[in-house]
Amino acid sequence: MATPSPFGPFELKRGDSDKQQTWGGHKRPNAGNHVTTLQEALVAVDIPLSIIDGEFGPGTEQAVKMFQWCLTAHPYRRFNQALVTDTRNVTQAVNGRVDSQTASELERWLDQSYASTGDLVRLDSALLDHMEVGDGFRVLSHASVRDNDVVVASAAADLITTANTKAGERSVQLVLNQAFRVNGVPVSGAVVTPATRSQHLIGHAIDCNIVDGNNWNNSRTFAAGRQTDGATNLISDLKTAGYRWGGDFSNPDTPHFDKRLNPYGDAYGFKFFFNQRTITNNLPIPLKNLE
Amino acid sequence: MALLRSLITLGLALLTSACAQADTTHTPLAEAWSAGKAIVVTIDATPSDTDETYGDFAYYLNDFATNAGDDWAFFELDSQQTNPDIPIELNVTAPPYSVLFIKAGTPQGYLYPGPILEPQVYDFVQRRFEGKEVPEYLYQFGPDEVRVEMDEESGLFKVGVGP
Repeated sequence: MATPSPFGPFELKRGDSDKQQTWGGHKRPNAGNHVTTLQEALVAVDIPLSIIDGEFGPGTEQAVKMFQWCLTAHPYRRFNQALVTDTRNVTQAVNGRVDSQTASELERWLDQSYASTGDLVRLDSALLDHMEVGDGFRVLSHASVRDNDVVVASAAADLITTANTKAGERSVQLVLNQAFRVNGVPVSGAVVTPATRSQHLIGHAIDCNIVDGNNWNNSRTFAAGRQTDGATNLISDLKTAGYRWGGDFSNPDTPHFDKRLNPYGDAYGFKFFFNQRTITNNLPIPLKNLE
Repeated sequence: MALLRSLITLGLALLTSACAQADTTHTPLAEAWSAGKAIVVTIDATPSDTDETYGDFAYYLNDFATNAGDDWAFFELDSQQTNPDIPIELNVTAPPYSVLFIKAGTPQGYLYPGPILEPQVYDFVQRRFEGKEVPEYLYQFGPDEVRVEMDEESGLFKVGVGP
């Protein structure tokens, strides 16, 4: 016989309330603290939730969505001070409702002492034959990160590996200027106001120069139409592979390539939160195998 | 684009006119110049939250400003506004997000016409202004050389084509 869920035998959702004895959208005569239990569970797995009050409001709904995003977006979980890879594949709608799978997964996380994290990974650039970090590349200040490490979102690591492979095929070299960007420059200390919804801030973008022999294809090279054939061909390859090139933007940004997430969507917002938190809280970042 | 350049030219003309009437000899810009600081002026750098090009421009500029040290001074020029604190007469084409580099005692200044999207540009200018060796490849990132004259009497900085 299955163990009853601590979140009740119903699908908790927005509008539910312990005080009102409303769960699953209906008033029920039985006693319980199902919403409170849910909120405590979310906090226990380190999903941000500011108030535990037994009311399933927009904050709790957002927290449930963030947990559901973690379930399906990537396999990384924090366990004590380390990072583990969860082998269970879950397909989960990110809808903010505590359906049976969400409830059982939350229970499993509690049992396993898992905590939420983002999908940042480190790639050892020394293992990339046709890509290197440039002199202006800033190594992230983080306990996990070494000098040669390039930090990106796991979901966008293929941008790096594909670019490296295609660069080799086109006999050019890529010099990286940046990948993941920390959202931390205080406006008061900035010369100009930083953008807050860049693909760099979630680890989905790189800036690089395509070096073809002695020619550095840079912004002015492209503006003058003097880019080399190797650069033109590599860019074509990467666009064909599904990546976005900044040279196609209305304000061209030729060193920029990304794997775009809608900057106004939930997925962007959740990834932004978890990946930036990984840096600010110095949470572990795994080294991704490039084999 | 032509209209925009015309508007910028008009704005700069108005600015020049305003500067001619103001006391510009003790502006923050003039003080930084007199102190021998390297000066960076961003031109019409309107913020944009989701524009990747702006985001990259802002990041590299702010990163450079954070690390450049006290011998560098940073200013923003809005060509549509009269700002007597930044008395610059630009006689060169400077589209939005251009960056001007000037320093007293150097043979020339530099103007990068548009957003700087590569840190190598700042590296090049910094090495030139600080008299350091410039690796051969960095010359490919060098901005346009401009001629800079400061009118000691009015404090107006005149920026023209060529060294």
